[in-house]
Amino acid sequence: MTTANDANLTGRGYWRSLQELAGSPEFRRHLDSEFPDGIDGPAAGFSRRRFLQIMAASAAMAGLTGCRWPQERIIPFAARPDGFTPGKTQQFATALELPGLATGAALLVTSYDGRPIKVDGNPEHPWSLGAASAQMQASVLDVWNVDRSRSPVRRRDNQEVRATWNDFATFAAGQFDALAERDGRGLAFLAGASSSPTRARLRAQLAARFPSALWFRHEPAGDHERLAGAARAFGRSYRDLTHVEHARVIADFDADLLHAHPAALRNARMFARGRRPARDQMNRLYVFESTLSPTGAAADHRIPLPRTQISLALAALAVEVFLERGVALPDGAGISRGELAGWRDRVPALPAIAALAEDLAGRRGQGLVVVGDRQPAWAHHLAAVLNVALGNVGRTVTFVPAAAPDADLTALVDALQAGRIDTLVILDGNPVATAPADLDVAAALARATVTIHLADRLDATSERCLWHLPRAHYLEAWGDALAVDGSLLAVQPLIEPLHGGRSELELMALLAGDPAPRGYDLVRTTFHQGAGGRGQAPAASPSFEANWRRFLHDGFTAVSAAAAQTPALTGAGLQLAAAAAPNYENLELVIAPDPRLGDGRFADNAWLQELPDFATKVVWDNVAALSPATAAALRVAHGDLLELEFAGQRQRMPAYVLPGHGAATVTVTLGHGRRDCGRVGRGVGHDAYALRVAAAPHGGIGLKITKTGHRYALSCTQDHHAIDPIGYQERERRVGSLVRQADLDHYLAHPDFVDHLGVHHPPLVSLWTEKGYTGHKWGMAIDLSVCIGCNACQVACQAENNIPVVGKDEVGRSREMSWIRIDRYFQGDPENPEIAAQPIACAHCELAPCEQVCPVAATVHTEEGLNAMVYNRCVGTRYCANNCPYKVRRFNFFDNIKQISETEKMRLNPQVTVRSRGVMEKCTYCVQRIETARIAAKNERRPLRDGEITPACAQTCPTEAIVFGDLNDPQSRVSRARAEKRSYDLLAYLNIKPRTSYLARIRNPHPRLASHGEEAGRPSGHKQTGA
Amino acid sequence: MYGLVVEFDDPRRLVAACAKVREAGYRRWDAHTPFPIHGMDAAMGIRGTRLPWLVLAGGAAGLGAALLMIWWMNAVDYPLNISGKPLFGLPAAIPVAFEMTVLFSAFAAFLGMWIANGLPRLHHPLLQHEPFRRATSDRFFIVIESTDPRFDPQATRALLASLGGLAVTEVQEQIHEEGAGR
Amino acid sequence: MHRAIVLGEHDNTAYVPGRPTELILDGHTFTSVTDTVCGIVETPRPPRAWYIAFAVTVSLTVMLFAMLYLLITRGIGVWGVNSTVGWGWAIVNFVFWVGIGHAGTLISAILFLLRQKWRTSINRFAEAMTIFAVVCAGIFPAIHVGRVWAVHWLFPLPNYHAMWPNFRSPLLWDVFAVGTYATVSLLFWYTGMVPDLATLRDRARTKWRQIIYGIFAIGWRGSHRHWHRFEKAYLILAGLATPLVLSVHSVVSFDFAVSIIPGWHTTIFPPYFVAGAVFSGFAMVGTLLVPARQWFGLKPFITRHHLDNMNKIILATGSMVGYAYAMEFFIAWYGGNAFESFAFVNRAFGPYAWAYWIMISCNVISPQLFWFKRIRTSLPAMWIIYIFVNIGMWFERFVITVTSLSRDFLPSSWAYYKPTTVDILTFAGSFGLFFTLVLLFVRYLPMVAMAEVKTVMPAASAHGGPAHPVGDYHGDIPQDDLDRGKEAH
Repeated sequence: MTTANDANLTGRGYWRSLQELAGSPEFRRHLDSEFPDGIDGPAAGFSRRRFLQIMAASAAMAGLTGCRWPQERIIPFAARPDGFTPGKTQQFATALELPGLATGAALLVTSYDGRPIKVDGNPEHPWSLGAASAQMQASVLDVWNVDRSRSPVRRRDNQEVRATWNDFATFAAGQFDALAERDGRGLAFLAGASSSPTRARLRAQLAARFPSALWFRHEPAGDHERLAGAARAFGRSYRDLTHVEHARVIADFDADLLHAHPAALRNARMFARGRRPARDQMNRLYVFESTLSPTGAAADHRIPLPRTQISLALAALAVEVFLERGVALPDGAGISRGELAGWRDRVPALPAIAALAEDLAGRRGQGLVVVGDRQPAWAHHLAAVLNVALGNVGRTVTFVPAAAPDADLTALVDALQAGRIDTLVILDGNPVATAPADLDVAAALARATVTIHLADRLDATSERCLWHLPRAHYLEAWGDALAVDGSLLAVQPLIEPLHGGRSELELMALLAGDPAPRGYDLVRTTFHQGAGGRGQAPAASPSFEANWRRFLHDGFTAVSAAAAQTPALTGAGLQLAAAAAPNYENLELVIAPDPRLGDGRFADNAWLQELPDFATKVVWDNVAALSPATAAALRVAHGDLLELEFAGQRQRMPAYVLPGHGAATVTVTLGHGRRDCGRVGRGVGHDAYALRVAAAPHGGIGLKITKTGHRYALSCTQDHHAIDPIGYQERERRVGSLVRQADLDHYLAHPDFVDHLGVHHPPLVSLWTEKGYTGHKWGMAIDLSVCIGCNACQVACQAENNIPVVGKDEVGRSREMSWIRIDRYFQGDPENPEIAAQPIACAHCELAPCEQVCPVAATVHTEEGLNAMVYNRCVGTRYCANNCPYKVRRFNFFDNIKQISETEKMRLNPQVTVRSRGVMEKCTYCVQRIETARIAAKNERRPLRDGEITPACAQTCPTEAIVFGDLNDPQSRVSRARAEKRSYDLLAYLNIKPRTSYLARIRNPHPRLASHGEEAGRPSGHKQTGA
Repeated sequence: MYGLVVEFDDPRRLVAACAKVREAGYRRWDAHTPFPIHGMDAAMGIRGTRLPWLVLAGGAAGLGAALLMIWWMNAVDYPLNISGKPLFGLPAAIPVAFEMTVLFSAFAAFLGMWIANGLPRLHHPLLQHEPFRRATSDRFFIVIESTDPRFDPQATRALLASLGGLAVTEVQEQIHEEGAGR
Repeated sequence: MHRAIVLGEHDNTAYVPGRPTELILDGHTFTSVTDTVCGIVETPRPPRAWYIAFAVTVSLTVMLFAMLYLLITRGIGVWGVNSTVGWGWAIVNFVFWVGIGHAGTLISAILFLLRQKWRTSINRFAEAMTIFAVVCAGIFPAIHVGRVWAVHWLFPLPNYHAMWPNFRSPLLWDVFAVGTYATVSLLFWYTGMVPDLATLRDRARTKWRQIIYGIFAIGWRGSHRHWHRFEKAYLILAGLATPLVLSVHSVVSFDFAVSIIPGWHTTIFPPYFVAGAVFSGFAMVGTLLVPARQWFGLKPFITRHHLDNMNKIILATGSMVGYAYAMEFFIAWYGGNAFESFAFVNRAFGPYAWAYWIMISCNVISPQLFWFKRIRTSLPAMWIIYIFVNIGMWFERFVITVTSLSRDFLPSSWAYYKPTTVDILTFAGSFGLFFTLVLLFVRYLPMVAMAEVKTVMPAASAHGGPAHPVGDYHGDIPQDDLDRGKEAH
């Protein structure tokens, strides 16, 4: 890094010198020691010494930056631009293109001695606000994956032959010059969704060179319906931009607004800010969904419905709003009151709809209606009409222009079969594996003579292509993207491509005729023509240079207000496409991208594989989820292996009985069961693409289920074993005191309600004078009102603290290692329960029960009251874990770190000790961050400021549910949180004085529906008009 | 010559005989039996042992050592804040203190007894004496050592013969002189 | 004199007013006692059964060490324990073996203090069993830690951390309790054995036996001045061992009672554990004695009267254990702590109910049969009940350890524990070790404390007459005894 920022050396000159250095034998040794052939599986004997060797090697690498570093200058975020201290972490702003959504997320990546080790949200960017989803954070692991392809591969009579980029360049020169001759007739490109302006620019160049080239887009989980709906409503395709901060009533129709939505991070933050439990200050969330999402769990009213019925619920809302609540139909609604009246008998009657309509109509301009990508275009159209009619457009929702989607895979296959394509360039994706089952892409590919596939792995598509080209990871390549609000994001590399991969942009430029394309120049040019240069200033001008530096430093250029538009309705006809409701004879299938693996592009990511699904808590698997009543009706038991048949396609999947799931509906998730990925994800779970047909990409009515008679072992981190009646009753009885919650009205009437929900116990007295804590007294508060259980904290903790992955079998033996877990409890009616999420990590109890039982004093209290775990003193009696009432201690049953390949060890956070076999470990409140902040403060001769120290979990939490700080400072956020009336300690009656306390969950149901979900531990009477 | 030995096959006769030997005023003599016979102490005029006091001392030492060790280790040499508890608490120290008291007492009793008995001693003139082999099985012996001031080969032999034993025999001397078995 | 014959064996269990029970039968004399007991050790070839048994137990022991190798090289993960149930069979086995180790010292020490002369026939065997059981028990705490190579940090020894152990931890109390118990039991056992070793030394026919027994007999020659101090020391050791026995299992119970886990955090544990220990200990002594007396012709020494007394103790302690089970439930309900009461409901009706009911039927129901004298005095019946008690007591420890952990405070972390093959083979292996040691003992050491037995024989009374403290038996020394004495010359 040092010299990369050194202004005295031009990148190129520097690069050349490094080329020479890189050729030297020592360097090769470094290279080998750092990256042994990944195919050697788990590293053989790994000792502390070995680890230090590697660290030493990599520290040395930092010196010869260029060999692993982009020769171009990239600007460290919040670090001295000149010079660089080895061992001091640096942070760089970059961005990641969200899978399938053509939307970029602004990120901040931590690099240690030239190795990217952690991904966080970019706190400066208004649409990420420092938060990052589990997928974004886990993406750093993919850089270090040992199964990435290492060189271009050319296929000769079904022999895979390793080739070089030069081979390809020569081949491409010949092939594409010939194509250019004939205006690119017979040439086609297949790409994924992308918001990159540079890609758009290069595409234009390609179009110029090959005028008649065809362009197709393939996204297994795309937002076609959203774009189509907007196009119908407004005449061109837009993406709706939600402004939850202004919304008081939110109607979420299968949109998973807080989790899977393109703007989820900001939505979640703003939703949380709107949950202050005070009269008229709390928003109200209605969610209509088929399966169970974090948004649904956070909702005040959650209405489980079959997916096909959700759009009808929206129609019902329209009927209610326009006909009952007397809201005027806006101009260009595309439907008359009469037609609407005709809908009445075709839409379901739901009590929640009336309440929702009342709320929306009562709060013009403060409501928000959002519809999910799996809902039909007309539903998106209708939502737009509703938002316009309710005056929400321009307040809670604006629109950002989006490129209309290109022809899809079906069209491509037809074109191939028709022989209209002889040269196909696949820039992104894995169509062979991710195409609908009734679309024979493999056969179609065979029809083209030249097929070129750019991919990070030799996957099913690569195996059928003439050329496979290794793709550079986004942390290895230059690029750009547009955030959900249209602001330009910089995608800058933190490390030179490990396996000589190239970016999509570089390949496009190459094909467009640039012999030696450099991502840096490509992006810089785009920037110059666009935001940065405004066209006028020549590239050399200081103003441009300054803009460019600032762009790279901040990672984005703020968007002009013009980007957010409020288009007018066109009046295109609004047609209700009524679908029959499913029943037990005729089930509905819902096919959704996996919340962790997406459409499968994260299948090889061990962190995401072992991340428990929010609803099912299943790891290393996907399931066919169905509601208890449905399961009972079909006589299906939890864990039965089912044979699903839909539209002539068959696939086997294990049944998971999920409370609160839509009736007569079965949800399966994509991305699992891949045969063509690396060792991590290969054959894990079951491939849901096998059930997908082009006509119904999101499933539909007509699913048949037959039991195979086999059972299937699922590994869950919670409710692992089918629970007996006694345990079930007890759980029901306890939840109320563990996750304390009340309706807003009840809370306002009885602010101290939490004190009546716990175990009743005599006053807690100590037998001895307790130790006081002068100086700092660290503590944490977790607000259950806003925790949506999105799992981001769990991945953040895993990345920060080098927490090993143990695999399906070990999790099956209840040996998962995660330091923070999210307990998920269902309460009440199994068909529509209340769902409570509760993050649990070490509470650093002041009278820690774990400490006194340790015979060797391996876990003790620090001066600031941290419950410290002394790894090298621990002998592993596991007594501490037994005596921990929260069961947050984790034991290394095997030498877990040995399972990690030498390459992946490069990602480990050197500030956190790696634990050996036989040692206990647990949450440390990120003590390394406390110390780092302390040192910084000390150097500046000032006291630590509140908020200066944020544990990884708190830093990444999209809803700011986790607050950390000094309890001795009455002004600190954590002290104020503790001072709140709804603050309570878990299992306080044990008198262990936990330092982590919880804020009771306050819900804001519509008064008329408040009776819903009243059960043990959730007192709610005192009906008054809320909100 | 080490001394003279008379052999019995019946404990009762032995007890009577012992009384006679004592009355004759001998000092350096002893009875050897396969098992402790009650009433012998009186017959031989053996005074009570001071072993119990030794054991008491051992126990006290153990108790003191335990409490000192715990206090010094946990409260002085390496104090740690564990579960916010006092650095030294007597209740938590009781189990270990008790065990060490017992341990030290037991060692005092065990070692004290053997040392007072002058054991281990692997050679002894009597162990060389063939008939004496049954002293640990079913025979009972009285031994009067030649070093006894009143010892007189004839007179002593006569006395022993008069005790009604099975036979009086001579035990030959060994290299080791000082009289064990007191 | 009144003599009933049962199974062709003299039955001295009948209580005849005014006539104390005979403890040694078949008119044994000092000589014949020595011959019988030493004979077992001195015979050049033990019975074939011994060889077969030895082969079996040794191979089991080898398997034990194979399992330990696997454990130490691979990690604790080879066992079934998990993050929720941190302690599994290893701790269960530890408590089980320590419990068994109690009968020996109890029989020796407490019965000695209570002047229960019938103990003399069985105390040596029981003490030996104690030592071996403690050896087996000692293995488990050592190997159940994650880093065996650092286990010495549990002792207050200087180490490179310059740290000391944490004396607040019950595990540390265990180290001292079990360590002391093993040491004192060994001293007690050895002290009592020295005179008998001397007997073996004096009867030795070969040089090696003479040297080896000679060394261990440390020159004992039966001097009455030695006997005087010997008896005092033995009495003191007995006096020390008695509270020790009670303390050891109390301390072991602290491992659970001092924690905060519902089902563990119980004040009744110390007495309840001690009773259980005595209970299981006697059962194991009986399990071994019944066949042993048969095979080695010890019926005259270990008579029905002895077994009858042991069965009565088993009945008593078994009832105590049953009472403890009931009291646990009562307190859980009466205490009104929801977590506590669930812990017990869950024991009896939760996923581990099967284990709980095995425990109840073996520990509470089966010993009650000993109310019937016919069962108390029937060898096969009592032996079967001994086996049941052994099983039941193992399950008691399993139920306490595992069910409490598997469902504690937060339902989210509830888990189910299943042992692995390694768990099972390790446990089986520990039996191999135990019985290997027992077989070596009966082959090379005097199984019955000869010197002590002789003191309770009629001929031992120095002068006949009811006044005498020792002899219970009024009568003359049989003529043949005197004759045999004369023949010696």
